[in-house]
Amino acid sequence: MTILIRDIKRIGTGDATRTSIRERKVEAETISIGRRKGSDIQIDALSIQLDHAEISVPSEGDALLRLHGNATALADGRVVTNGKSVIKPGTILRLGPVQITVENNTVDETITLAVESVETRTEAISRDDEDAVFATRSVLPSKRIISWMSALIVLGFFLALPILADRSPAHPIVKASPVQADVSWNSGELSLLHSNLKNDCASCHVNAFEAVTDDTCLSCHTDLERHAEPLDLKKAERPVEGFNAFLTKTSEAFGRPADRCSSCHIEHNASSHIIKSSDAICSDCHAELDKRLPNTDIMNVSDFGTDHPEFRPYVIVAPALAQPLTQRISLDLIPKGNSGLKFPHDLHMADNNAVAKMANTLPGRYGFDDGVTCDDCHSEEAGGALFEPVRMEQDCAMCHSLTFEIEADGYERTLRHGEPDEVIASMRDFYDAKALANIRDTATDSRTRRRPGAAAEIRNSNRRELAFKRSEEVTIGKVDAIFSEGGACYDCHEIERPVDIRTMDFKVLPISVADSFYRRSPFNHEVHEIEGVECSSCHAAETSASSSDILLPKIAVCRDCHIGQASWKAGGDIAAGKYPTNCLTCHGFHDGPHYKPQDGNP
Amino acid sequence: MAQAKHSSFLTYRGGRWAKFALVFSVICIGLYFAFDFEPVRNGGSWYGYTLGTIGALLILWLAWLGVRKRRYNPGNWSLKAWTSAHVYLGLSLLVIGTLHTGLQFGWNVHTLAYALMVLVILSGMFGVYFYITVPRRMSDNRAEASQVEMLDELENVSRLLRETSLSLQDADTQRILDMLAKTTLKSGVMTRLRDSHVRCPNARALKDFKVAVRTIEGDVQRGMFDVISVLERRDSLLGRIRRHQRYRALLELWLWIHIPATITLIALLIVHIIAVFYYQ
Repeated sequence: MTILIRDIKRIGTGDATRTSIRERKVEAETISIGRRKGSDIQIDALSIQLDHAEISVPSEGDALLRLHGNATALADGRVVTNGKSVIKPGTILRLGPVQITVENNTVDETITLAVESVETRTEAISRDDEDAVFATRSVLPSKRIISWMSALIVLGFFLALPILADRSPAHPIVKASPVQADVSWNSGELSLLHSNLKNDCASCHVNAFEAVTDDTCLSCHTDLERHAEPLDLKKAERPVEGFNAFLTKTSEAFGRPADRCSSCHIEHNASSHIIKSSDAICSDCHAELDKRLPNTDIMNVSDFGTDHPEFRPYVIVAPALAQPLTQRISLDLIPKGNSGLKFPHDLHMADNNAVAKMANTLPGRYGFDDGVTCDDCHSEEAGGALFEPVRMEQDCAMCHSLTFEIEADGYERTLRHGEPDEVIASMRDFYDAKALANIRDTATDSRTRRRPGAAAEIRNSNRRELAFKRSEEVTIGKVDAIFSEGGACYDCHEIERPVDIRTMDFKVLPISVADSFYRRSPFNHEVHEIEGVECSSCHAAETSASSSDILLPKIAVCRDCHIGQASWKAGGDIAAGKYPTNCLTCHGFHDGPHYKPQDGNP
Repeated sequence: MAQAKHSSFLTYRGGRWAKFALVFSVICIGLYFAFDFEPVRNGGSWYGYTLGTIGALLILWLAWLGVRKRRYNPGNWSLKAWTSAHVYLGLSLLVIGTLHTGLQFGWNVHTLAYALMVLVILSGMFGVYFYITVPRRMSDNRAEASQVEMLDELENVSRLLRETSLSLQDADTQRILDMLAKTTLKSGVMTRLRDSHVRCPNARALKDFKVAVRTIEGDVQRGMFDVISVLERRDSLLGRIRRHQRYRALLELWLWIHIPATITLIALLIVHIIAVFYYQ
């Protein structure tokens, strides 16, 4: 059997393609196809087995294709695997890169196998893949696209949305936002007292690009007082010059005028910074206040530790029930007060005198276990900053009895405190009643019964007159006694005696005990309740023999512990018992007009 | 080491920009502590605004390098001068930006802008580091071959492998075919950064063939020795190409953070400035 094998090679591409055809005849019934050298049809391709297939041509009938092992082929596009397949003339076989067309020669009844390489071998990676292999941009999305998308997201979410929320809060996009749109603009925590406004930016930021106005602040803060008369305030300021003037102008150019509430009260810096604590804010005006406000009676001050005038408490110079006359007097001048009360602290606080002994004999409910101490009379008011007024009934009466007579059965008759007219009236009533009782008792006594008649009437009438006259004299004597040295009232009060004692027109002069010596900067006792600080650390009460002594410590006493801001910055140390002290430690900026203090008018 | 006249952007003109940036940063830090800002140091003080303005202008100028490097005419400054200034002034921006914050941070756009600025600068620092260290190793690795030459060489060796492998047994040719199909260089960026060559199919086939060749003899063994020598050539070539991929990834990847972060930073800068003046 002769089988014609036609090898077709095409060289070049397109119109320039040349075809070279070589034919050879094989005298055999079976044609071997494979990678093995010497195969009838040798295919140099790795996908072809050494012995891939064979085509046998029987003398009768159609040719048969037989595939070896795992070899595969395509017959007219259909996969053929092991076993024998009939190939009819015209069938196109495909084995790896080679196409074999089976042709029947009707003339000599031989078979021609047209073998043509149809697949140009290409490597998986070629030089055209340079960028794909080496350039990072081939495996990542474009930087430009990432940049634009990221920038647009940022502008949309952090700029457009907050502005939309501010302009039209009811917009559906704003409402759909899961978080408050402008929360991302919040530059810092609000102070504690403003923290309720943290979700309501517009409560302060009313108009876009407009700095927070004073009107906005004052819409809530309605009870603030002026620091000073605006004109005085302007005059008192140190002139803004040089760099600071430039800063002020620049601020104004950016819509941030100076001297607004928020110039000092800078928000979004957390609680500790909403109130400026620098002394410079005060000393800018107050260090040389007299130069710019010559008529002021406020003294210059710049630092608590080094440049602060001696304290000038409000001292009562003339007691009065309604409005006692007060005057600010420097402690340097050793001011004497006039409360109208006699109270020697030293007598009451001594360890071993009659007062101490008497205190120790009193029942325990009065609490005098260890003599008389400060807190036996002075009790803290609620909050602990200052003290309750001392009350006679509560704090003095256990020793200073108001008993003026003891009845036969031991019942003590006492006087009402605080109302001298009532005291005199009560005593008069008491002794008149005694006289009446005497007369009644004499009239009903059988041993003194008289004969009836006019003479007896006259005698009885004389006796009554006599009794009331004596009662009057007893009353005058007793009243005089309580208002005189050794008497219950005289011990503590200043008494104005009548010219004629028989009028019994005794007057107790009014008492005015100062409830606060420093009205603009009240002292807080509670914060000073620390170990090692006693009442006597500051108040020299134990050696004070007169109630006119002003028992306030001078500034030097405070400076033992309190140092000014400048010194603190230079190296203050709380562990060493030094505490930083600025103007606001004692003074309040908005506590009212402390310009031109009116003596006597708090 | 005595170098030729070449000087890198880092040492341009004796590090003039390094000195300038250092002095500028020290002055900024000095002023920061020289003044007492009430009530607290923050971006809203006069010094804060000053630093903020300088910082914002600096960011725009630094970003302008992206425009400048695309121009061919050198202008008054060479690209090297420009790059040198970009690097050192960019580093000083870290100081300026940090001082501008007054160390006040929070969950807001302002801190986000700062964080992005830090990200840009850090990625730039990585970039500079790779620009210093990678090119020498890269050129050593390439041994004067261009990328295209490396790929051409790979194609040649692969073709040689196919030809040499024709004499192998069917199972071994299948192995070579599978290996060729699985060998890829178009890998993802993380694969490029890792040293992935040990898992290369070519290397594994080589290892297996070296074992298998001892069990056979004769022509078949000789044929396999031929294949092994080609596999070895291919292995070394693939290793070189993969190292080159890694170096290029190192040289380029930081830009995927540096550039988008810069553009986003500029957007955030706009947001930051509008926000602080909108609600002032």
